[in-house]
Amino acid sequence: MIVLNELTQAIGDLDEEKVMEMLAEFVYSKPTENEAQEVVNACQQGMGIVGDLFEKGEYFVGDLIFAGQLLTEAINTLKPVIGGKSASKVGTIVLGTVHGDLHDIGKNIFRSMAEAAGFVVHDLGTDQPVSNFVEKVKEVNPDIVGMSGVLTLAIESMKDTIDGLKKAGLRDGVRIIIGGNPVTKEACEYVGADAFTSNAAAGVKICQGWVR
Amino acid sequence: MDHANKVMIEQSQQRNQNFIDIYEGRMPKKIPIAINIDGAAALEYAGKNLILDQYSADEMIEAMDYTNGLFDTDLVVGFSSRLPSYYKILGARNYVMGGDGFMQHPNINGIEPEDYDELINDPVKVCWEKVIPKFYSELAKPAPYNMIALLKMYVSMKNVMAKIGPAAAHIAAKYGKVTQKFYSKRTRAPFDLLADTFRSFTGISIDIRKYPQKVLEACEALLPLVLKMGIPAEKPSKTIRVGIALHMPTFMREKDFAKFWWPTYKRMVEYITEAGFGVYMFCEDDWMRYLDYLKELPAGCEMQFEYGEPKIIKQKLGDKHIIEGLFPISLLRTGSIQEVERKTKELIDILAPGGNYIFNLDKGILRASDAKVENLQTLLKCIREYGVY
Repeated sequence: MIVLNELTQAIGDLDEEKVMEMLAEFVYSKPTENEAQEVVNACQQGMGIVGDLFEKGEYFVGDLIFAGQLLTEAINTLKPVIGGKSASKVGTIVLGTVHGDLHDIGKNIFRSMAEAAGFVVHDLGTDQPVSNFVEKVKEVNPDIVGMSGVLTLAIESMKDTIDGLKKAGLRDGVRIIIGGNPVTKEACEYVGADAFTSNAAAGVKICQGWVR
Repeated sequence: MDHANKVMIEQSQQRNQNFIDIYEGRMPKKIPIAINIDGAAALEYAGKNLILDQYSADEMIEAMDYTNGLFDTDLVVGFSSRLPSYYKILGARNYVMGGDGFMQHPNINGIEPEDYDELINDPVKVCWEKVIPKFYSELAKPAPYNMIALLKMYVSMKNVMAKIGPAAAHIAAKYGKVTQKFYSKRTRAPFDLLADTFRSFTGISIDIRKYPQKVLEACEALLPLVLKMGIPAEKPSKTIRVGIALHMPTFMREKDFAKFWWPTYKRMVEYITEAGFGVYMFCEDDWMRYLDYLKELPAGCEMQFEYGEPKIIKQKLGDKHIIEGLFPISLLRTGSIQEVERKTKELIDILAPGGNYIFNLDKGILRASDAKVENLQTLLKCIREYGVY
């Protein structure tokens, strides 16, 4: 019998060996779909611990990358027993790195943490023109738009993108969060976003606050 | 020689001397200024087209001349050696152009985890056989096509540099800028090379947990290679600096840093210093957690910081090392002239006492939008007037 809080803690500790051992045993025990869903939730809560430790300065970006990988491996192991039932979705995010910028590490960390928190994330990729953000927002009608960038030029591109959403009449229907190395309070006001962060875990918390 | 020329030559000599004094451990007359401006920003300041004109040496030289006249920096600025033509000729995947023409380094890996043993055994062989063909599609082609691509790139580089070299000397003389060469070769910390060239940021973050022993051995194997890359050909002197941009430490936990990143880097810096050269390191991001480690390095290292507490950095390292950086570039973009002046004086008051200080921004100016012209001009004027010993 799997002990859920032990699993949550093992994910939080990034103890890969223990996590994979617990999950292998669990899958072998032929659990029901509901039991499997509880285990998925326990894993997701483990990501919450990782996020908290990151905010406290005990974990760093490298640890978040590993955590994302660990969660992916965990979910893959559980796939045979999860069945068709999908977890409850808390909200939808359209995410991308803005035009001119090819960096994606921060964006990918945010995506894996947002997905772990139950968001459906439509990831456009890197160096995305304004039109791609606009089209995707029209198509999926998200709660939130997340824009990422590492270069200082990304600030201008974020402004372009938000202006594009305004022009298309889509700005008021979404919350916008910007993330990455160059974002600051001033940059956030300048581009017209609702929130900013250089901390993926804190960014997910902001998004959770918006859809609650 | 006319009077104007003489004035400029004297100005160049004074500016050279300020750097020499710092590097040789003396108090300079004025704070040397190491602010740099990328070639992309220079083209933009000069009103040129980044996408097209970065392929033309003549356009780049015009932009350099314009930018060096516009900004009274100590160093000749406005050229980037990372030109797209070289990378395009080689079919590069490790440096690619963004949608607006700016060159960037994507998160790409040269080898897979199963290649570690080979890397540890013979890193040069792995570069030739795995990394280079993967990063450069033209070099992956069979002979003679790979040789032709390499030759094309080499000739292109020679053609560009044959114009840029004399132009830079001419610009230094015209505007009275530094004429001595201080910054020589560039190299990487062994762990950073392993991360950025071989395994990617994402890959290495996973490897230190999955294959810790292999990572340690790979750093050892890369140490001779980074030293070969870094040791200058010039006669040894503390005024010749080996540049090292430090990448991964602030993304790691301290115990991982201490185990994987630091030991080979420390030995590398000790070796370069013992060989008689100086080191310039860019401490990317916020290094406050690691100041005690930096203090262990041989005296006289030039350290540019991006973020952190200037007072604490000065207090911990100011007696032993040369401190540089920490001026927020964001202020040049969004601040007022008054705010720029205030911040400049504030930083100089903290960092300049006792010498061992070179003025710089927290990072280089890559694009014209990074710094308003009047703000950067104000900054430079303020350092010249206020940064006098």
